[in-house]
Formats: sequence, structure tokens, C-alpha cells
Amino acid sequence: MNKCVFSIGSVTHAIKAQRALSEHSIPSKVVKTNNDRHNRGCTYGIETELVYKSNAVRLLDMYGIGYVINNN
Amino acid sequence: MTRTVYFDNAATTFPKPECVSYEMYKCMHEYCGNPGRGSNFLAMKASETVYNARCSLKDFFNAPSAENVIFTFNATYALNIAIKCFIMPHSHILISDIEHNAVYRPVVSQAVHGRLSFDHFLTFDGNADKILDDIRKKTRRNTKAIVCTAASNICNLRLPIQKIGQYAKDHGMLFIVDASQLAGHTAIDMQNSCISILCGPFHKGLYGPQGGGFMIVNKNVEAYSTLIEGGSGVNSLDMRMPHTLPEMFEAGTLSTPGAAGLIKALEYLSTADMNNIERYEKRLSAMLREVFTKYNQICIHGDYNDGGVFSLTSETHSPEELACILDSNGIMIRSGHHCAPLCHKKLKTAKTGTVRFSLGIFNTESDIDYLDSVLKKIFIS
Repeated sequence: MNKCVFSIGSVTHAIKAQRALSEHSIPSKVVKTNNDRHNRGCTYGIETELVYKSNAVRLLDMYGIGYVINNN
Repeated sequence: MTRTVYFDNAATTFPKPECVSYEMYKCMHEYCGNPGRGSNFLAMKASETVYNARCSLKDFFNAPSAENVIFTFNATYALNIAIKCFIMPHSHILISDIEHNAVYRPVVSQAVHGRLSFDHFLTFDGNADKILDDIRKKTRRNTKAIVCTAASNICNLRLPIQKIGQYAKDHGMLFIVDASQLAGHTAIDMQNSCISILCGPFHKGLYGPQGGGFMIVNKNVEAYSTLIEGGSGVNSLDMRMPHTLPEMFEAGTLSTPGAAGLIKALEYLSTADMNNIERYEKRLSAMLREVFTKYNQICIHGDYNDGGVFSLTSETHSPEELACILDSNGIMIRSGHHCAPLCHKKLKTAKTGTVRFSLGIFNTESDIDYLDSVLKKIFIS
């Protein structure tokens, strides 16, 4: 319940996102989700604690990484 | 037991650094899941390995980002994608007069199907001013790309890619570079050389495994289509390929052991330092030239600079005969036409082909002394 998942796209972009957050001391892990906006099937994303959500949003925007947020 | 000496590094480098084969073995045994497909532990470990290999290539060639590094089976596949998917349809392009068939055949195929037209620019002796003059003369209003090798696979001719790249940039053209014979022999900087797309294999100068290649796309370079379609591990319900790099051009499973080996190979080269490698190869190249010039029966074709590739013919033996004698003495070289008809035309060796000697970082001065002793047996005794 206190997790937040960012659906991102391919595993490449998800790892890029995970490392971008890690560089700023935000712990996250790459996960597979089915929650992409257009329901096109397999998608990778990153899962982090809800407490990091706003910082994660700021960083992903800064790195130009597209995402859709799914709150668990 | 006959001594063995390997002078066929332009075909594929041998041996590979031990760390390359060790890491590939370790990968096969410990973490060879399917990259970019599932999310189990091994799949994620494999995905991380492939991503790390992208990062290594990005750093090695100063590419804009890891996702701009696309993996292919080899340099030929990479060049086919670059030529067929990134050049505006029905435009005119320029290629050099020393291209390997990896560039020449896809370009001719596109031309035969009416998808583009092309001209050759002359490479002379590698002189940048003369080359650029010729490129200028042959540039048309609809010339949209220059596609060329960075270095010949037959002789030691290297092209001034930095100056050609700047010309292409100034004229709004794509600059697609076949780095098969230069990558790993001298440093290549995609940004300094204004390279739009850089293509190459793992297994030549980079000392990685066979069966892997790369196409690195610079920023602001857009594709018109895909070449191979299939599973990409993302958007599986969509009937089209993803529109994002790198998956747009990576249908099917990538080679995790290949990526693992490549990471170690690039680490090895970076530790050795590209400046040291270039200096060492130049020294061996000068020694090799000195040996060849001792024998009147040998003619070197296209000896232009310090690169480590030499093509020869002999007055007394055909290339195949000479290759066979050298092989029986444990010296491995390549004879024939080397898949580069344009360059043979330039060197006037299209009829006979040549014997090619190509150096690598594991060659030694003693290898060259041994070659000298064998050539002495062939041509003097």
C-alpha cells in the first residue's frame, strides 16, 4: 500500500530510470507491470516507496524519462 | 611443433583477452536469463548485463546515451539497418571508393529498387583536402547522406572522418560510419567527428565475441522505418514495433554472453589505453613494412599510413599459393578479395586478389621476426 510504481516502457528505459533515482539516493527496483496507459501489454517500470514519489517524479522529468504512475 | 602466428586480425581478432572468455563462461553458467523479457532474477540480471554493455559502448565512443546503442548480429546488420531505415527514401548519397560489401551491397540493392541513387567519392591517398574537394563536387541538392568506412579492410588507408563528418553536418547530411576496421585501433569520438550513426562488430578491434554488432545513433537522428520486426519484450499487444530506441531495432533475444564478453573487452582496451594501443600497432606496422620491403618479389598495395593492414602480391606465387605456404609454416593470413571489390579496383588488384596481413595487440616483434625467417625461406633460399 505504501509503494508507488512508475510504468515506463522497455527494460532499458526502466533500468535507466532506476539508476537515475539511485544516483540521487532514491531506492527503487525494476518491475514488470501491465499497467501501461494504452493497454499494449508488457511494460517495465520501477517501484519505489510512496514517500519518494514526488522526488522521483521530479527526477524522471529532469532526465526526460516518460512514465505513468500507478499507486498500489 | 610448428610455431603459430596470427596475422588475420582484420577478419577477427585472435586471441581474445582471457577476461572476455571467462566472463562469457561465467554468464552462461550463472546468469544467462532472457534480457528484456521476464522479471525473474536471471532475466533481470541478463537485462542489467545488456544495459551495462550499452553503457560501456556509450562511454567508449562518446555516444549520447545508453538507449541510443542498438545491438545487432554484426556490423553488416547494423549497416543494413542504418542505410535502409535512416536515409530519406529517394535521396542521393555518397559512398567512398574503398567500401566493403557491407556498405556497397545494401546501397546497390537500394539503388536497384529505386529507393536511392549514389555516387562514389575518391579517397586518393587519404588526403583530407582532396577527398573533401571530390565530395563537394559530387554533392547534389538531394544528397542526404555520406556513408563510408573509417578505414579500409584491405590496406592501411584511413579516411579523415572528422573532416568528412563536419562537412556532412554543415550540409545537413547524415554521416554513417562503418567502424569495423578502426574501432579499437584508434579512439573514435562520435561527437567530435559529427557521426550520425556508428556501426561496428564486437569481434574485430574491440576483442569481443563473434555474433554481435552495434549501431549507435546520435541525438536528433530519426528513423523512417524498421528492418526486422518481432518480439521486443515491450508492448506485446501492439502489432507494431515500439517507436523508442533501442527496442525499435532489436527484434528477438539479444546475446547476454555476447554483452558480458563485450563489457570485459572494452574494460581491457580502456585499461590498456587507446593511445598505447595505437602507438604499439604503429611500431609493429613499421616493422612489418620493413620486412616486406626487403623482398623484391613482394609488392605492397595501398601503403598509405601507419595502420596495421597490408595487402601484398608476389611475382612468384599467387595469393592462394602464398597463403598456403605461410599456413604450412603456422602463419595465418587471408588471401583473396576480402569482400571489397571497390578497393581492389582502386588498388588494381581485382584480377588476382591479394594476401592480407593484419595486426592486433597480441602480435609481437618476435612474430614479425618469425615471418621474416619464413619469407626468407620462400623467396631467397
